[in-house]
Amino acid sequence: MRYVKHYGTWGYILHRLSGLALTGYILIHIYLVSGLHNRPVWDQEMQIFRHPALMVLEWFLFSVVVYHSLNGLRIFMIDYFNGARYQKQLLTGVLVLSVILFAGMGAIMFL
Amino acid sequence: MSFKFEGASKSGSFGWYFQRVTGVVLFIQVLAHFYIAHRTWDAGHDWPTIIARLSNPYMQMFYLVFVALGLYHGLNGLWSIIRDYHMSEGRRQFIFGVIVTVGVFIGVLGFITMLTLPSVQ
Repeated sequence: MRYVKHYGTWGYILHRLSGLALTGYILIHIYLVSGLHNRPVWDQEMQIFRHPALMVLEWFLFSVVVYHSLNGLRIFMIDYFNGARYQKQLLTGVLVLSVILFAGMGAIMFL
Repeated sequence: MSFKFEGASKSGSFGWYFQRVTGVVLFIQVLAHFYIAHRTWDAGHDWPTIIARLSNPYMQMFYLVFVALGLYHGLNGLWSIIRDYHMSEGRRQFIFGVIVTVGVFIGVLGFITMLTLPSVQ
């Protein structure tokens, strides 16, 4: 079965994909932070995270958190503050803000 | 019973409601977490700095709540995505069991990490 993909549907799809990514991340993150028990283990982990490829992934992680957070607020507004009336404008706002913050964080991290 | 005119927020679905509540709390906590852990380079990477910070019981309490709500919100979201797909009752129960087991295992690991940290030498 295929649904027609309206503008808001993409917000829904992105929310699910970013949610899945973040759930995977939080499991890995809690596991890795348990390395704090042993300083050499921790220092080695931090050494690994200095790798440029992982820093780029961290940058993407930030943008995924930003999108999921902002769109989460949009969902909250749709559910509780009559946001369904202007959900398209809200989604545009979420996407524009996400891109701006993504670019801004890239500038902070890599420039 | 029809909830057609009640609005989704009054349908009595606890999972739906609690996903909103935890979402809003996590929104605030994630901002705080980013500030705490990435205010400076050392704040999130240097072992003595992190251990000193997490020796504060309020900080530990913050992270116990963060771990519990984060895992609940994430795994409940995963479960609600999976429920959208048709599958046999046995497979549903198996997947639910795996999700709960992973959640409890990682949650306990996170709690142990936070409550039994070594002290700075």
